[in-house]
Amino acid sequence: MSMEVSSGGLAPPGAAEAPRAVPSRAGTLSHPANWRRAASHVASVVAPVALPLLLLGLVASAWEAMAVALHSPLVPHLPEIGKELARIFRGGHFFGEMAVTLLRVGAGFTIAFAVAVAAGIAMGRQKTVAHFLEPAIIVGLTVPGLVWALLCVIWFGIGLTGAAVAVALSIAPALLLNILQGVRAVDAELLEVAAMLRLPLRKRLACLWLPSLMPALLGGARLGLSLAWKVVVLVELFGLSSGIGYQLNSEFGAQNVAGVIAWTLGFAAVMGVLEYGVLAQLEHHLMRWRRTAQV
Amino acid sequence: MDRASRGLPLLISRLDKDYAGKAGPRPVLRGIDLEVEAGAFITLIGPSGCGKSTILRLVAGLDRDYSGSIRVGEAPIRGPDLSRGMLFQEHRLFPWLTVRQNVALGAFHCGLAPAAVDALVRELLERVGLAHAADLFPSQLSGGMAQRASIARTLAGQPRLLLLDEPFSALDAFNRLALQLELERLWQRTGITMILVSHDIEEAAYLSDRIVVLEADPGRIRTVVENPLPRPRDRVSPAFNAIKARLFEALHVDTGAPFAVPTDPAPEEAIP
Ligand SMILES: Nc1ncnc2c1ncn2[C@@H]1O[C@H](COP(=O)(O)OP(=O)(O)O)[C@@H](O)[C@H]1O
Ligand SMILES: [Mg+2]
Repeated sequence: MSMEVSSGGLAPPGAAEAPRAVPSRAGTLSHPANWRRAASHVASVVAPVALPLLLLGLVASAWEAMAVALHSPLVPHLPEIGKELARIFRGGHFFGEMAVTLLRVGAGFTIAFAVAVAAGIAMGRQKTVAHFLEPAIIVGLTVPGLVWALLCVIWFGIGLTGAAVAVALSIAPALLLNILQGVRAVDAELLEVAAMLRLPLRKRLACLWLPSLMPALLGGARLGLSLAWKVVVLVELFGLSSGIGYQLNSEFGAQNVAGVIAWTLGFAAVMGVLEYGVLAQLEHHLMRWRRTAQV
Repeated sequence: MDRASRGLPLLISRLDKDYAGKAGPRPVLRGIDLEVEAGAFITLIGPSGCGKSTILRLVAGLDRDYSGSIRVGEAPIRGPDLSRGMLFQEHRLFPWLTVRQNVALGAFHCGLAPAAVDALVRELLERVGLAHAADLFPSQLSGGMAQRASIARTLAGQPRLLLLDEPFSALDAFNRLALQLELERLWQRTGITMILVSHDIEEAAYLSDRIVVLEADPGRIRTVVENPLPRPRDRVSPAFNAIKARLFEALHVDTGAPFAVPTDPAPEEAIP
């Protein structure tokens, strides 16, 4: 759906950033206000890319400085890490393993998300359900992911099921808590409007519940993903013979520190792409109705 | 539907309403008797907290915990219905839907074909002067535009009784006057029964056939002021001021007039 504005003389307050020719003396480039505006425009385009790169550069330099100073095989130099990276990426090795891990995370994440949305809405609307499920959340939040990983390997053996269940069990409580807060924050006035307009449940979910819960869902997705990686790696380490966790463990067994770091870096890069490339874009699109503060 | 058969009559009798308080139930409305004929325009006016919004919410079917009887048309109230539309002080548009989508939602329950909904929405937006803003989000509208969109959404449900809970009180004076005028035209054109809650005496005197003055603790009807002035009404005419004066008096508001407020319009004619 595009957001074009018909030429009715009415400009949306949020979309007035395009450079406009102002036919007055203040419109010349020499005017300081225009310089300032141009500078802030450049800054707003460059900063989101430059600043994260700056941080990465600083961390890499600090690491290399440490490697030079310590002169130990435990702190490999950047070129060694680079060589390992090249090795694991050669022939699509890394992406094969990553895909396996992603599938496990995706399966667990989907289960947890579906359960958390259903339980969250039920708990937010019905006090009895809330009382009933609250202990489960509290226990779930306190059990370490490591325990779920161990138990699921024991119960389900090696395979997709065990990994998915371990992931789902470890992230569902946090997701549920997030969604529950979102449900409680749903605008009572809009619920009244939905009742006045006699919207059926399907329409209410699509037009009221889902959009209202979107910030909680996106926040929950971020939190859930970050927790899911940690658990899936543990499951792979204990019981599986493929995936990032398995590879980390074998590099560890071979005392190849550069290898461990290389796998971790590749893994973090994929996370970054998911976060900035997918989730952030999704959020930007889904939340485009929101008014952005102009100050 | 022709004008005469469009509006629904409202009959409230011996209405009592309590809200749960800390120390047991608290009486909010007591012995409300109100008859509104089909197509009439009445205003409820009274101090804050006297139960005006509560009356509208009961008629709307948003709250069914009361005693006494409320009848709209033939049927008693069983929850909300599109035939009873409601407008609130806030626009209450869905912030993530465009104006067009919001208005279309107002007709969703009618089960029209998509093309018919499109046509209806376009016509309504045209009528409230928002055709150019159809694809904007509510956060991109001014207060007056948002309230217009909200009116269009309510009209999309083809209401036959409109409940208006201070819909213009958050607007600036110009928008308020313009919307009052548009509401009057809508009422004259369609014959929808209008029940307006207002704390604006001039608004009440301008729009309504009858003004019901309420008092608080518990909420009850103090008096009813008939307003037979011919339309269109002249806001600065002596007769209009006389109605306002009667409302001030009924509400026990001190107007600061040096003498008793004349109910006879004649003496004020000289004042510029
Ligand atoms: N949901 C509620 N629960 C308890 N008390 C309420 C509720 N809604 C309104 N009241 C009380 O009922 C009285 C009438 O409220 P309301 O109808 O909103 O008044 P008005 O619209 O005339 O200002 C007030 O004293 C208010 O505090
Ligand atoms: Mg009120």
